[in-house]
Amino acid sequence: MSELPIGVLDGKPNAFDTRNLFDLYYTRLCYFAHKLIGNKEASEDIVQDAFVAYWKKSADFDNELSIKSFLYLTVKNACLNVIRHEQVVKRFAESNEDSGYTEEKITENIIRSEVAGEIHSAIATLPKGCRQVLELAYFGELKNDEIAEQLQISINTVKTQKARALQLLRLKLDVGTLILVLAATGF
Amino acid sequence: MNQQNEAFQQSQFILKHLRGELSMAEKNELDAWLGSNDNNRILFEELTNEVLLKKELQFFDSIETETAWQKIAAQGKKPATIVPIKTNRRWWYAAAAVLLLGGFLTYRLAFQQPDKTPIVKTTPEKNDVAPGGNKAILTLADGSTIILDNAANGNLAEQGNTKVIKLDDGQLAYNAGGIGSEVVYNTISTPRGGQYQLTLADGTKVWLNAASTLRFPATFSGTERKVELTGEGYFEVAKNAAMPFKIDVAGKGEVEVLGTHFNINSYNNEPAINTTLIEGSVKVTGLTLGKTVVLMPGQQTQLSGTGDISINRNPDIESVLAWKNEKFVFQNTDLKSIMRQLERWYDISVSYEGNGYTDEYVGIISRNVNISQILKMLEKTSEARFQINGKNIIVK
Repeated sequence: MSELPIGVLDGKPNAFDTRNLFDLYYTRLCYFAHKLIGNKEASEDIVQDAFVAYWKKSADFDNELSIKSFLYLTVKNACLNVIRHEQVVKRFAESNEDSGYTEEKITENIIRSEVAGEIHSAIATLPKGCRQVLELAYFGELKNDEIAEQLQISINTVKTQKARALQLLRLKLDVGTLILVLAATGF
Repeated sequence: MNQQNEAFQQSQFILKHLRGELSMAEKNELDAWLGSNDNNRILFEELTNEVLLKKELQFFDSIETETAWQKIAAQGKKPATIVPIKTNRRWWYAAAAVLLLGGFLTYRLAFQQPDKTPIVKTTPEKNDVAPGGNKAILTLADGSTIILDNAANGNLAEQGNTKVIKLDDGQLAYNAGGIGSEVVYNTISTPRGGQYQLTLADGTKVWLNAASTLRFPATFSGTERKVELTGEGYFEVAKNAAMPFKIDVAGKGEVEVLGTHFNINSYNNEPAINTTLIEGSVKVTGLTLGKTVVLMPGQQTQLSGTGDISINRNPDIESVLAWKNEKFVFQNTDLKSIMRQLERWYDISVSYEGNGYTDEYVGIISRNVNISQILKMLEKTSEARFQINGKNIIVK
């Protein structure tokens, strides 16, 4: 993920600014939609529509929970429409109608999206240098020397940045899972 | 939406677990959730398994966000014309499908997009009732009264060291000028068909719905901030941990807060006093039986006439806050509940020719239209017929 440039602000208090909400919820809603319909491109379209719909009526919302609820609900309904009327994805078309789409399944996927999304945000808000190193190591599965070459920095800097990232992540996520994840990728 | 809130809550617990920040109470809730269902346990294990989680996180990184934002920004900046309708329709179809499955008799009200532009009063009905507006009466400590809808903007009065100011947008603000010597109380009352917003001396904002009263000190001093409410109000309480904010609700309940956003509905013709928490934390006490409940955001307590308190974990927040957003929101709302809301906002009296009227309605309507428009929508979708005689409405 690249450094996010300052976006177009729509003049609302920070927390309700569409750009801020986008940064916070866009990827996790895409992930949520993808879990339901299994098509990444269609998922992204659905989530973009949801944000546009929110933007048009943003004056109606006065707290983040209601905005988040609106976004999830809008995405969920759009996905259910796709499933019901187009049956885009074979593996879902094979099952009987909506049988796989109980509210329980949807709730489960909301939890998945929220948890994974928060963890991802914790990584995304690390300082740029740390993040680049971490992402190459963690998502790109590159070794230290490969990272050093790609970023044109010394192997020692790579090691320092990794250590720093780890320290910063601990504050936000503590030792739990992520450290295990990092350990598993040879961090 | 309700199950969504539950999901948001469980997600927070899982994240807190990962960060090692769970309180005992939260740990118990998480454990109960894990134990209630095998699927929950499996989900939890997936989310705390490094290999599985890593695969999920890679998906997040594969999404190109900047292009997506450009697309959204391009559409979001256009004047509102087409887009919302599509999404809203989907919502209604889905809601209708769910309700029909549930065996409810459901009607779809014509959807009206809340509109920022003033409502143009077209061809008024012979017999019609205009909506309510910003109306209230302020009673000062010495018993003198000010009718706020007519009062000019600017300084209205001084209460001790506190200035009472009517702002340009018709709100009322109390500006504390220093430590108050003695506590003097003011009372603001909205009539049926009125609503009002004010800012108290501590910075707390209160929106008062129709037919409601708030009694409050002009300046806060001492160890707590105490006010009294009847009717319905939405509060954004300014944070001050050293001086808890307490609301005496119609003499029957007490809501204690540190700094938070919530709605209280205590109309005496509604079945219960409902306190709905949006943000922060509040403690609700039923004064009859002395029962106490602490609410989490997104939850609602219902304090019944007998003094019992129950928690609704999934209230429909949009409906609860509809009045503040200048709307009526009906979610499986029966006709009589709808008519009670209309009575308060249009200052009308409703009588029923027959019995029953248990049909449930789903829909959103602006509060800024004449009553005939709302009644027409209700007629379009149900058997109910309405006759307007001045301020009396007869349901046939």
